[in-house]
Amino acid sequence: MASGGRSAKVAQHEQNKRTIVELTAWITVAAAMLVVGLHAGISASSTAADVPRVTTAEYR
Amino acid sequence: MIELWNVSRALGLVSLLLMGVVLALGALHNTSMSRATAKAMPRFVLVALHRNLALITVVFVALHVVAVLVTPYLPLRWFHVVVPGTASFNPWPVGLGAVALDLLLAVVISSSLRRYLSKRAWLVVHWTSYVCFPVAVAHAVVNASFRGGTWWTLVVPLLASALVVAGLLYRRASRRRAAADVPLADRGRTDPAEARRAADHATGAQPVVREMRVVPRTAPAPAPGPPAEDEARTETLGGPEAPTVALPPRPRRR
Repeated sequence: MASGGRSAKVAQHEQNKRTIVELTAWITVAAAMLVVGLHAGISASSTAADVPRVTTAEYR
Repeated sequence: MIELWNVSRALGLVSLLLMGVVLALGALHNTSMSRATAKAMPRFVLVALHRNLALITVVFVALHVVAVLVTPYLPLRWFHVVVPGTASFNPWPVGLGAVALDLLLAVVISSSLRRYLSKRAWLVVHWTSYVCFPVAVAHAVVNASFRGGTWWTLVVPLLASALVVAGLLYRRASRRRAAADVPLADRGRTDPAEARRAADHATGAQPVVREMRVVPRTAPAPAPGPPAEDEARTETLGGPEAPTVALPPRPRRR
């Protein structure tokens, strides 16, 4: 009985550790996708005034 | 190469958002929300998530800095992004970014060396993240161009700030609710006799016998004169509902 409770506790602990890794991985993937999305949005809406030290002619 | 500038902006914005999430998670630590979620998942999961996301934030910040440094038309050297005020180009925004980077490095390094530091020293350094975040928000806002078409990126610092403010407000409300039934002057203090009575009352144990006294009832003697004051006096026993004893002021801790 006691060993059953102990093994259940160990399994729960392993599950919690997996949860940490999975959550971290998912948030990292979401952040990377957000970088791609923000880059696309900034590139689409950017003008010469958004880029430092670049003239309008250079930007074109 | 302009694409590299846009990439560095996107990386900086995501770093700021991640920093907001990390700060909000840290603010929610030990509040009623973390206790409520502890039923579903233990508290160490939230703590580990806070730590992992902080490390990922550092990676994104490092990528942001590297992208800015390798962009060829920005005259920035490595020390410009570490030492505030050394950049001649765009001094204020770059200086704010350097301050935020230094504070972030201080928090990360102190947390890595936590076992060698006292808890108070670590906590003082860790709390500088509440300075680092506004500086990073200022860096993002000052760097945003209001003349161009990317003004909408200001949504990200706004969202990150809202996350942090919500976390701090929840923490403040949670602490107030927890201590609402105890007067400020009496928090953490108790009278030993009252505590013993309350413990007996809570556990259903019998009260301590030596506090009980049996007063023998004496037969009233016929008094010729007016009734004496002794007859009007009754002895009562203090129960669990006895009033709180006023304690002397506690000496101020240094």
